Amino acid sequence: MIESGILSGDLLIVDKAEKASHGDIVIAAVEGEFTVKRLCTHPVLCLQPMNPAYSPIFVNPDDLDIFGVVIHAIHSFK
Amino acid sequence: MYLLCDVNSMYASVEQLFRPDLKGKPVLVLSNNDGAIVALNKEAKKLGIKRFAPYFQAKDIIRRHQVTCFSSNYALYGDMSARIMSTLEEMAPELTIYSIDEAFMKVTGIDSCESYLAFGQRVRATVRQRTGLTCGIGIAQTLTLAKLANHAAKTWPATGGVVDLSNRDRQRKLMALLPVNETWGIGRKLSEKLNAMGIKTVLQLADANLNLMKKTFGVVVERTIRELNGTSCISIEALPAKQQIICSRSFGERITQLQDMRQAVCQYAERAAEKLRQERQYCKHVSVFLRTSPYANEPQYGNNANQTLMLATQDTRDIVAAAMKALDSIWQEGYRFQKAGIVLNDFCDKPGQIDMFDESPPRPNSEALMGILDHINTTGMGKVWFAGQGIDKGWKMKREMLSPSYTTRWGELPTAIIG
Repeated sequence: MIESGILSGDLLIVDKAEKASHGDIVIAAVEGEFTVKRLCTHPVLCLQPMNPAYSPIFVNPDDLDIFGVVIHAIHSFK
Repeated sequence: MYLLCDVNSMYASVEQLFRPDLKGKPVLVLSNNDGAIVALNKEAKKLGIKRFAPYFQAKDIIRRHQVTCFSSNYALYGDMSARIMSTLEEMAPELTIYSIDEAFMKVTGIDSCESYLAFGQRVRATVRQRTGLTCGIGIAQTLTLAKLANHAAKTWPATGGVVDLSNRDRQRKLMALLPVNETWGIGRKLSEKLNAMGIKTVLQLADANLNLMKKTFGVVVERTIRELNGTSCISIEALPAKQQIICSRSFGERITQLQDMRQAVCQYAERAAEKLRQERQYCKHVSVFLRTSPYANEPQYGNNANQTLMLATQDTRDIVAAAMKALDSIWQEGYRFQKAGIVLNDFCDKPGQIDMFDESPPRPNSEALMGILDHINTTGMGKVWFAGQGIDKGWKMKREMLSPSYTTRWGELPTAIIG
């Protein structure tokens, strides 16, 4: 997730009260695992990995399971 | 007008919340020491597993259907409960927390802004959005009817989890469908008596002759009947304060020595006294029980003993002393004890008054000392306890399937994959 500035090991602050909308970075449950993705609601609903090497995941609106919206990332140097 | 909000299979749902891999799968939660099943989700219920059944009896089904089991994680459930309650508090002028997963709101007048149904749906959606947990909501003129409405909301999916039962015709329709033991405050024994009188449904109870019922069963049943007919008699403020406090657990390892048993009972007594002070109550009655495992093929013994205190107290030292006296009177060598506990009863809301015949006058500065004790133990500064508990507790809880404290420990935060 280099583009969003999120690096492995970062601490994410997730707001569950926030309603996820287009362009938000979210924690989504995909195949039984929490993953960090960017939510796209148009032109088609999908979860966009920000690593361009991966392809987007197209989901049924009923199957979309968003745990919360990522609002901050804390990166530690030590 | 009252709204009752109650979380659907709270413990199991909370465990699933942080385990997306368990979505739609059977989950159950075990009691302290992994002894009995205390909570299960609807998928587990469908397999025929029953609440309060001993864990080992269900082991076969659990293995065959790959049911995921958890030890109770009260830190996690308590924290999620606090989140739900603060969400509810934000939405209503008056909230009374009734238990870890249940709360009453006073919503009189809200219908001048939006319908009760719409408000209920908004509450449910908000709780769901913020906590990920689903609740059932019942709304009606009285607490007893709100409880019935809540039951309907949870039982029939077509309600969407929210039932506005303020309409009299709807109340009667629902009451005709439910057996009388679904009424709040009508226990099993009372329902049997009512059934014998021909009162089978809630509606029949609501329509029963008030004077006759009052004479036969007393004022509590009379109040319930009035409540079923839409007259509010039980106010939130006057909800019965807990009338007893129980602290009991099965042991991780069987106890055979009095010394160990005294440590265990001392700890339960301390915990019970702490709860008593939280409820701002004083108790006059302490009882202790112990038993061997009813499922083990070995000599069986179980007993309990009571101590009545001269003066109502909430001082840990008095409660521990009474508990030790009671324990010593029923202790028997030669058994392998599996469970023990303490029950506090006979509450009042102020300390007992000393009289001239009393052998044990109240201890000076008891309140201040207990206040400091509770403060240290609840603020995370550390733990202080009475030496009677011992230090190395070999008998302490077995929690082999404990989930991480996702929401209360930095080291146990859930993780997500970057991809």
